[in-house]
Amino acid sequence: MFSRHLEQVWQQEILPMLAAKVRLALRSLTVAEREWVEEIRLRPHQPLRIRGGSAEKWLSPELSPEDMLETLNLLSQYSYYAFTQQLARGYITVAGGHRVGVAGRVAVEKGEVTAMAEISSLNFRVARQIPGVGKPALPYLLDRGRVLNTLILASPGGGKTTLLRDLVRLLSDEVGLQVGVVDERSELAGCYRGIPQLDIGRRSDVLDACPRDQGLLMLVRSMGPQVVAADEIGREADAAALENVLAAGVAVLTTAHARDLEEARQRPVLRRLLAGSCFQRVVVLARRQGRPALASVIELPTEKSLYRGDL
Amino acid sequence: MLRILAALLIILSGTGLGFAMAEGFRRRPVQIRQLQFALTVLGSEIRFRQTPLPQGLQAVAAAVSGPVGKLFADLAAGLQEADGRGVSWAWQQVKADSKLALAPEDLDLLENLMLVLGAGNIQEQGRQLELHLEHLHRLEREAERSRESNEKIWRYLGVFSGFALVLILL
Repeated sequence: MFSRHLEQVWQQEILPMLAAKVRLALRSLTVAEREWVEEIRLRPHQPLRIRGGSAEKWLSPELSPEDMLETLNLLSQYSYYAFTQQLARGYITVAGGHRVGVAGRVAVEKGEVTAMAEISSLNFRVARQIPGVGKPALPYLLDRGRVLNTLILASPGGGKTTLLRDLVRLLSDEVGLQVGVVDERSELAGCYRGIPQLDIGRRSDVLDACPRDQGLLMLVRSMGPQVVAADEIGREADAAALENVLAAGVAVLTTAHARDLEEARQRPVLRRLLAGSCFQRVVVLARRQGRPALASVIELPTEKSLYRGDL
Repeated sequence: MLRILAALLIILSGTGLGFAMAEGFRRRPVQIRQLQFALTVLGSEIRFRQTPLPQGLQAVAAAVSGPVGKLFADLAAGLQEADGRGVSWAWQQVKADSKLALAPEDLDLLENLMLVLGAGNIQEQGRQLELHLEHLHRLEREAERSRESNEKIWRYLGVFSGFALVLILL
């Protein structure tokens, strides 16, 4: 079920989500190009742009506002109401765990973004599952069979989610631990109608689309996990929930947007968490030849470098 | 002998015609009531489960029997084929071949609903469904009145026109 061939992913998950004109343009891509594509970007009155690594390619013809609308209809299954909250946060997650970023004119109420009123850019980010990408990092995160509380750091697009997903899979399948996953943005497990589409291991439970802070506590209360995993912490509420989870003796795997430890410390919530005894390991990712790779593993609180990749 | 047979045949076909007309008047309020139920089911799918439309329409199709259920099943299938063209487009494809006893104003109401279905947040969708349900209530009362006044008339008319034709021909 989880052997997701590239061709299958394109035919069943990516192409059906795009307007006919876009589909036609993408059919001209070679297999190697499909392998390379990380983002498909759509804007009205502009040709289609695809990007992978640091290269890009423009595909004719120019897109019309109707093409944008058709794509949006397909992405939302004609059901704006089911995606209002996601859209207000700037994205839609589709079957297969692919995330589509949206930008346009937003509607604001009492200082909060309540809706995406008109959409002018779509950015289809192809979800990648790279089985084994977490293997080099795994030994540093285990201590006598116990998982150490770990924070994964990287810039946006640096492979945080991909690494976290593979670590969850390895902990669940190979280490044999009970893992709980809070997948607020449906990216980690790529749930479709509540069922994971990506391989996160046989011993993993997923709370799909659940707010991180509430989800972490729900899992600890109800599913008896040995490890919980959640993507992209950064809110005050997340920190409070993490402290609660740790107090219950459950290990935590999580990620944050930051290039390195210094940058992470500039964010108030992360600084507080890093200063406390919350995390025992920090994994930093960087791009190597356009691909995400392990840059370093740091032990906390000593800040001793356990691993340093040659970048 | 042949004459009596022919006369019987004429009376029977007249009766059949009358009953068929009456049947239309009888089925319309029944189907309007089914539509009300269908919109209520769709409303709760949208409001409480935030089910996307294709599945929501399928849930309605499973809950409602007869031609009304089939209409929603067709609409769900039409949406799969719409390729991004929208709910109204799917409606245009399915409304023509439905075997419904609905009057044109009932279909206009559905067509109106299709223009707003899916487009808007949950509260708005709830309000729209509420509004269309109210309108359906009015149409149901009207259909019920027209059934009362027309159903019997058409049955009698069918039988008597059969007899009348026989009398004239004999």
